[in-house]
Amino acid sequence: MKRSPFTPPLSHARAMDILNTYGAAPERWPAQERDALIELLKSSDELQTVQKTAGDLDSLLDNWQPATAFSHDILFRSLPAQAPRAQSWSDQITSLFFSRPIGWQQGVLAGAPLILGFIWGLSGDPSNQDWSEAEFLILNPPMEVLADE
Amino acid sequence: MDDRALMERISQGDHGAFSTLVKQHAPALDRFAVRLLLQHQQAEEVVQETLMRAWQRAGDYDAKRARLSTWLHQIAHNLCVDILRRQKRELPLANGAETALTLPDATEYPTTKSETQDRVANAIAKLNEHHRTALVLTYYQGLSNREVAQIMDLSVRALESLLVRARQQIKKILEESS
Repeated sequence: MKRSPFTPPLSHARAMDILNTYGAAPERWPAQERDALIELLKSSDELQTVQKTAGDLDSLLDNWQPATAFSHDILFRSLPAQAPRAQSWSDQITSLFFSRPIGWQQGVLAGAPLILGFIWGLSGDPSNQDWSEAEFLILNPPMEVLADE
Repeated sequence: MDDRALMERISQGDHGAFSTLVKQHAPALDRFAVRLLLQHQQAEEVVQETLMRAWQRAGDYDAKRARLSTWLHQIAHNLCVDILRRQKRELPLANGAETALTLPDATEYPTTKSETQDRVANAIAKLNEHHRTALVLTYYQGLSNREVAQIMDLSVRALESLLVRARQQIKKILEESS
């Protein structure tokens, strides 16, 4: 059998899977595999049997067509008079941090406080960084302080 | 008018465009919600809320990411899942976890008339939430497998796994009931 150059190859096992997954009707099969499966079915009795079995179940499922009685009037009565809301600042900030997927911009913004804190810590006044020295000075005040007292 | 242009007009408060959206999509959304919830009143509430959200969030719609039909089904699906999970919490877990997500007895379901329809409705009602959703979206709503996977936030492979099991279960239930 000559295959169309645009039809990707389809294994027999995958063809069985498609019939058992999506049923017998070609319009429900994955679009990119539909042509190949139609071709394969022409030459396989086994696949045709599986298609027929799947079709029996499809026929039963097709029976279930619940009536709908949606009233458009109800919706229009409850439709607000005002225009749709513009996105608020709080929504924009929320979506900036919590929308998926997180882009590099959100990552930078979320990490900015940590980075700034780190830089601030490195560049701060060295005399205030050594807490052991501060503690020592409180417990052992310089002589001039004692002299004032 | 394409999806993007329609939603752009709705985002500007155009009631006529919204009317078009309702006429084009409300019947399919209603059928989807009825098939998932098996209750007309709740289904109608879901459709109403879905369309209201579409009105309010029209500016968020991105035509590059999904067809309008897929986007609306995604909103409706989330609302249905909320209802089904609320029902799961409220219903006694008499039949174990697998059946906890099933719905009230489908023999009470008023829209089916023939015996076959009742049998199919009962069989579908016995599926769990994920199996039923996969089957309804793929089989009845005419959406592609990629669109259904997007709505359910699954891979296509995971969706196919759900569909195979859903069809197997339906077949088994129908055979037992015949």
